[in-house]
Amino acid sequence: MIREIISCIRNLPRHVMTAVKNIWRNGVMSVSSIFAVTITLIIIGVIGMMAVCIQDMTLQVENSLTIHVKMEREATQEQVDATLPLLQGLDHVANVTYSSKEEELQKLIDGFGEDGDIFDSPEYQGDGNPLGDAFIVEADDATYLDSIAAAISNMDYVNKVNYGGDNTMELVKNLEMVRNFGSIFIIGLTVIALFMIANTIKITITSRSTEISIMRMVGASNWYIRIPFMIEGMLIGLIGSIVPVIALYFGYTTLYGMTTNGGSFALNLLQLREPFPYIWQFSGVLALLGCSVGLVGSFMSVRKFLKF
Amino acid sequence: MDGDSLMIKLIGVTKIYKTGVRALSDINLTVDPGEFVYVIGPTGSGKSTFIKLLYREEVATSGKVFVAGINVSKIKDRKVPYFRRNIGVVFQNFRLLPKKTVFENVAFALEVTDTPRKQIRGKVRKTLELVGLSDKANSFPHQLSGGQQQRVAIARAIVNSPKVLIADEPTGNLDPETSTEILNVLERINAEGTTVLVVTHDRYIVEKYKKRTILIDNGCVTSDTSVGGYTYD
Repeated sequence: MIREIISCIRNLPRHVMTAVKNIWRNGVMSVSSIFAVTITLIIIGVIGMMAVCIQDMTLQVENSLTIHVKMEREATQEQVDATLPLLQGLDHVANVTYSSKEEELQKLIDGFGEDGDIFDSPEYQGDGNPLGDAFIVEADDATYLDSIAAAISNMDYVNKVNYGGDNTMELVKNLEMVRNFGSIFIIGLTVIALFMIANTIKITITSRSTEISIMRMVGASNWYIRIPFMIEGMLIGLIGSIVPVIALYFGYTTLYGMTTNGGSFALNLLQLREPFPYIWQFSGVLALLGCSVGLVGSFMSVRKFLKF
Repeated sequence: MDGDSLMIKLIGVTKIYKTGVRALSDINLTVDPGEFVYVIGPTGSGKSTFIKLLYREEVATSGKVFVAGINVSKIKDRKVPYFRRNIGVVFQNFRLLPKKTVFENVAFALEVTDTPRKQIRGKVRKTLELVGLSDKANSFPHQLSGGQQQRVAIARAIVNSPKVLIADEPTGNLDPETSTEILNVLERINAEGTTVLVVTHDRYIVEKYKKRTILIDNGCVTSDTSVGGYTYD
């Protein structure tokens, strides 16, 4: 066993040479394998990118959901201050921001735009302010918005709790579903892709079963036979990922340019991730996927021919 | 122990395939080092099974098979490649690596046995010279005639100086003239001390090159003569 490992390491340059030669000499077969990897990786890349975008988008939407807690107008400053730690102590509360009645009024005025000027008179200022102090509560998970809101509404000096009600919860549920379906879809697609690539490699190897039997006849150890095939599979995976990575690079930077500030499709709702280092990470994942599928695929396929 | 002084020794060997076919029954046989032996017999007589047992492609159902002093039936699967380095095998259909040149095909047998690179070149050249193919070193198998391909296969089989050379119908795909050529090469190899075992039903070569001939029929050794000659039918 140790002798085999030493022999494998010593022969590694030769194995790499053999693998490269085999790819070259098997021309059409290698090209078809590389093509299969390219196609599947492009599909995975595009769908994966879309899934990540949707993920980002839904999270952005969810994170913008907050609970608006209005305190009683009569509540004293002490009573309001005492409520803050209670809010912070609730489960799944990520952040609590205090908003004074003056700030609340200003927000109201801003919210009405030009028509808001009617509130902008001295009679509403100071004691004339019809609004009370407020808290803005952010949840760490939007699915708990309703339970948090329910808990807050039972607190003392709380006048009104507003989080958008059932509609918001419906939205949260839908976004969650979109995300989950996206993940399932990606996983399913990856599995299919892996089978496709592995199958192509298997055909390549089956067409060379005589070659393997000859190797065994002249006394090549199993690892000696296997390693060049595994390197070959890895290289095919790697070569196959070149086009998808390039396509991804240009595709994503273009899309990013189009959807961000100044672009022709700029959206407020959908803010894409910064292209760097995200593209490199994603490219790395694709290349790694191609490589490992090639490696595992050829390992499994050769194994069949190494049995007695 | 039992097989030490003998190159090949079979003691009460029986082979029954999983399908229930009884290929060999109670074979007892010995071959001395340096012998040249024909194994003949009609199709389906079990002679292919016989040589498959020798290079451990099949394992005997019962009995013992010794090759070059090694108890073949006791070799673990993983160790089979190492055992095969003791024997050279030549087939009817040549079985060369189509994508490798003549030189690479022969060198391959040395590469897998971890022979130092410096030695490989010299050994391959010497062996190609022995089979008369020095000028074809850089050709690919498909560029060669059948006889030439078979000589490459023989070169590959003997390049790492095995103790036994097993040839399974080496002239089966060749015309009589080319067969003579191959037999001359095999005789030369035998003259250098390698035990040679040729499985054939080529009456012509058995008549022409008289050697010890073992006749296998219906799974049994029915005739074994050092006088030579095609003794059945």
